[in-house]
Amino acid sequence: MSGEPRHHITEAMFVEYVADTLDMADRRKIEAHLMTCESCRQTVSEWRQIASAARTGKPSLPPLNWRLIKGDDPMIIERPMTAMPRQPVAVRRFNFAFPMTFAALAIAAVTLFSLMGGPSGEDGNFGMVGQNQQNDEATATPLTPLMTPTPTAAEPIVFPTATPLVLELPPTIVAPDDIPLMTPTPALSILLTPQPLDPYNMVNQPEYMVIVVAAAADIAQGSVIKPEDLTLYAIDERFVPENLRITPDALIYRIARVNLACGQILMPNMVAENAHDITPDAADFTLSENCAAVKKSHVQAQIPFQYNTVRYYITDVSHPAVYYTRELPAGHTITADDVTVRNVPVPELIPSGAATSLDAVIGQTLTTPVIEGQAAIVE
Amino acid sequence: MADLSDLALIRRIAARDEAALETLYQRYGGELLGTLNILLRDPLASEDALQMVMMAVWQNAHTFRGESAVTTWLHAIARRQAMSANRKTRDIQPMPDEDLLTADAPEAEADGHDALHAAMRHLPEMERLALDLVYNHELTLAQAAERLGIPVNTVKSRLSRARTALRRWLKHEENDYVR
Repeated sequence: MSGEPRHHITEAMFVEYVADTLDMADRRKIEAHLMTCESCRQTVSEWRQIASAARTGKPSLPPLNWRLIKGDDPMIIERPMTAMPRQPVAVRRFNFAFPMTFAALAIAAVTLFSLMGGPSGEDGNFGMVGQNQQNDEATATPLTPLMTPTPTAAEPIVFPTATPLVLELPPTIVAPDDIPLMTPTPALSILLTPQPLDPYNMVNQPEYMVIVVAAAADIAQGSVIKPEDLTLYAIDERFVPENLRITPDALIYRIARVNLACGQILMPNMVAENAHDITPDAADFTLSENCAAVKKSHVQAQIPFQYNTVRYYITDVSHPAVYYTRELPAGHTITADDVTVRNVPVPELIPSGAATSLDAVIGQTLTTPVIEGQAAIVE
Repeated sequence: MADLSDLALIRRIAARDEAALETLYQRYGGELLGTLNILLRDPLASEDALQMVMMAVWQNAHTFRGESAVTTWLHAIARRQAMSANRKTRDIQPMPDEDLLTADAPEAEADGHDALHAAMRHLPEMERLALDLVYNHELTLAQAAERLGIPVNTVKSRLSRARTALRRWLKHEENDYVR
């Protein structure tokens, strides 16, 4: 090891030698070299001094503050936004060519997806996951329906009109000429803000916003969706799944297939092109009160967009729920590919009884058909 | 739980496993707190920031795509959190002058170990972070580079530069090696 090993030893090795993180072979090599090299001894000496000054000791760890981490700490919820977008995202009014991604995120939720079930909706068993068709409460871990049947829900459904809904647009609503009614949803790209909102704070500020379409008001099943019924949410790009994409023009002047709750993020399968596609909802509901509460508790700021109405900036996205990733028939045993966990920005939009972990759902057998984007309900 | 890989812990955290977050915290909380202490220069603020970092981990674990090491991700969150906290307090507490290394700071008048320690506070942050990771948390340079999200050769050159910058405070004395 004598001779001229100088060139085999870098300063980095001295750093690690002093830190004692070298392996034995390298240690031996350095020690042998130091025997013969005065200048390297000086280097090591200097690194020992630096190391001694740098060694302030490991700080003792405080216990985790679970209230804060889980968002239960009101300090966090009420903390004002520190940086809002400084400039509105350029969105051309009524030129729906702007790139848009659609989130399947906060889907569905309070709304029933009885689209596949047809008449099965009448017994209130939509979207139900269970181990038997009878929903026998005595069996192990019986799973409950999406919406627990109530006396109201159990009553025969009275669809608003016995005849098919009028398909023509109401005279007060005129579709702009440049919006073809039946445009297929264009290929999607993600709309990013020109600059990250605040790249240094992952806790409160999304790096990128993705615009998703949501209901600005309750939209009754069967009604024509007007531009003013829609709003856009800006959601952290990281929380937006990629499998569902939509633009407002895929929704405007379409017909709501199901009751749409204020604040709900809309998916393509929630609208129909004509009323014949609509299966009556089993339960009617209104979220008018909830809408205000949702905005108050979860929407931290408004973004002045140029599109038709106010956009909300949702930062609280920590509510997990299990959703189906595809259409599944009744009797299907759920596999890991059939479900996914999504974080929903607004907990009110998660149906009660929705599974929060995949383990609760995988292996269970569906008692009713389900569709993509529907929440998996278990007890 | 303690023998699980970092990635396995993150996956469990994404599935809302509290014990997994505790394990990750015990595993890396110390070095994260060290990093925050250096960046924030305030132990209390650092502890608060550390909680915020763990909150970010808890809330965003499901978004971790495994494209970087878990430690790279954790430290990136910590650095972001520190920068954010610093921005909020910058109006109140001016940051120390970073040019003191080349100026005749009062600290330079002090002697020996204390002077060196004081001088180190004026090293660039990246170099101070690297020194902390290597000498307080016993990481190799490769591991430190992973934490800092920079190539290991950059860490080496930064540390070499740090020693050069500190040379003025280093004693040139005969060491105890046997010839």
